[in-house]
Amino acid sequence: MSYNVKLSGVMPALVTPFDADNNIDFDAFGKLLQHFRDCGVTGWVPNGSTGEYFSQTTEERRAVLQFVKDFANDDEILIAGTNAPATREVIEQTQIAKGIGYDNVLLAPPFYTRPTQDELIKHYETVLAEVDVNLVLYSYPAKDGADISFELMDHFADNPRVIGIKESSGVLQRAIDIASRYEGKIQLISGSDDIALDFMFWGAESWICGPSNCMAKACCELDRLYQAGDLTAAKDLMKKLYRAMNILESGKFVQKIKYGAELQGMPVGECRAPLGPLTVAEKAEFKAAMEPILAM
Amino acid sequence: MSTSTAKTTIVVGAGVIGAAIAYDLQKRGRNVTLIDRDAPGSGASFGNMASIAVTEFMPVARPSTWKQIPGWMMDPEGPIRVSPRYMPRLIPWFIRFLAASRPSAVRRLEAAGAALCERSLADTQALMAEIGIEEQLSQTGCLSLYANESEFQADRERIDMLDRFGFDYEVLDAAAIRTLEPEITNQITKAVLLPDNRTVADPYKFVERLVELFKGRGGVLRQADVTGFERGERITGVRLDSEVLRADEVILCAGAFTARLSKLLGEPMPLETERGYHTQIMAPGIEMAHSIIWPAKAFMVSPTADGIRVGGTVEMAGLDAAPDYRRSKLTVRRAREALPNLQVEEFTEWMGHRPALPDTIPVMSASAKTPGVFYATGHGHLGLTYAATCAHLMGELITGGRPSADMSPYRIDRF
Repeated sequence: MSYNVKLSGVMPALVTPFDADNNIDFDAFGKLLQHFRDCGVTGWVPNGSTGEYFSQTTEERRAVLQFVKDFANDDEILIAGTNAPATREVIEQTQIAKGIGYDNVLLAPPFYTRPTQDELIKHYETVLAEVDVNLVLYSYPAKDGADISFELMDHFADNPRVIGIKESSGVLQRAIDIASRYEGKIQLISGSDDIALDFMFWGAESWICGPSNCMAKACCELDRLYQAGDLTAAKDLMKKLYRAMNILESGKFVQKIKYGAELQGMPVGECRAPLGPLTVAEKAEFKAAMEPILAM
Repeated sequence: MSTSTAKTTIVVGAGVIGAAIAYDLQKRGRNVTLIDRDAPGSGASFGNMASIAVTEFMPVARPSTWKQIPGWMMDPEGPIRVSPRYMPRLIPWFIRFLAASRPSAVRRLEAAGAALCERSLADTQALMAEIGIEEQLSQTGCLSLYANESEFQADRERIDMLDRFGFDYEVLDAAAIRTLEPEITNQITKAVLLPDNRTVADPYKFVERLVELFKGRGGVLRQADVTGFERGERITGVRLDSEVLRADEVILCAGAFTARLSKLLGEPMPLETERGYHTQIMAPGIEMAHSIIWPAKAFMVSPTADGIRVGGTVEMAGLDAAPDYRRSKLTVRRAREALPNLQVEEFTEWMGHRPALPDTIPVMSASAKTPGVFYATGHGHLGLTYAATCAHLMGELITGGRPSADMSPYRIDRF
């Protein structure tokens, strides 16, 4: 294996709970983390897009990372989201994470500027040169406006510090291609929740998982069934999860995740602007899809 | 550790696999009863070659196997001997064995074996340390011997496989061999050192210590024949001669005898036995630090606590035929070619039944038919090597945890 850290299991892409005054609600956060641990998650991914990092001040981001780090056990994987629009700022955020004790970061292409692949390679190389962390690439072109190309992955394939790619493009062909080309070099990480089982089939041993915020038990069970070799049961469970997963992927992802957390009895507040609440119809649709999962 | 709500679990088979599983499940809070018709560790786990043989996961069936088969039938001195009388009963197994030798299958089966072997030394070290017998494990590895370049080239397939999966080895010349093991004959001009293939001084101690701790923590050991099972929607009990033991879970790990039990549950498995022989030489007159194998001569020599153990060759003759100790005499003769000063005066001979599946890959699986039943068997010549890893994975699987390896290659319904 040519990567530094082996990833496995379900690692929630954590929401950041807010209270009625829109401040971070660490009480709710703590309860949520304990619930996820009881469900069997293997690690923590705070401050990704599901964590609404874009809405947080640097101090808030630091506080969230510190809170999760303090909660984590030694055998739980820690991956910090340290995204920002510019290379300089990504380095600052990554240094903060490293200082708190995060050895791995999850980095999407900087948004808004649509860097070319050469620029993106340079961006990642600069961050790696400045801060001693391992990198998980994050491919979500619909959100970032930039691809993580095969040319870029070729470039980093033999670098042990580039440990994996969270593939959230929703394009299964890319997952197959990544699994085939970079086996033992760059770990394929499931990030396309409604085809999570297909990702497992193609060799994704870990899942950086937004939906686990509101259905952790079911996500861990899907992963466990696959590992246990029980494909029939895994397929049945995926069918049960699919509707809700697919509704999540169709838009208003974080808003729905936070509503789902409320449905499971662990409210985490609303999203920060510009994200707003769900409509009554959106809630009803998602609630209907969540019901069979919460009944598990 | 046990509470009134804890599940009651019966482990059938007290070889190294069953003992390690019973020990692991007890740690995970189960009320465990371990049953064997014989004393713990007195079957294949007693007489194995005492090796944590992490590089020996090459499936027995390979594309090159086809042309060797006639020799197995005809040559009573060959590395694998098939009893002509037993052959008719072997045919269904052999068909599957040949199917497993397709190049596409072989690659997949190698990966399934490697996934266990790459962690087996670390798992074994951890378990041995935990039960306080770490001193039983040698620090030195195994030497694979070659008399000439053509013997070495004939073993290339194995070495290429080690390369593919990143296992450690080192090629040694004649001088380096003599430095490590002065007793090895000058005939040997080349060797491969396999540093992670360690020797367990007394493999029986491993089982004995596991069972001792298991019993000390409230585990129950029963000596009895399992004659049947009770089940409804799921397993509810195990039948012995004159009583029924209630159980929430039953783990069948009776080695080569497991297929007789699984058949009672309507779940046959293509399990045969590779009969293995050893000769334990109490006063060998030589000392060795490494175990040795000589692939061209198909034998192994291991330095154990009670002298030197010589074994090798496989005999396919079923569970009931009497031992044919000409097999062990033959391996000793070959071992003396490698170790000319080896004295064979005071010795014992042994034969045991290794559980062999046609694709060389163990079954470590939930039953596909009866909820609550699990299988762990078919570890072939790697029972001791796989025991710690198998117990860990089965513990995770049985108690509903996330198995730390992909278990799909080891399912029972793959045949």
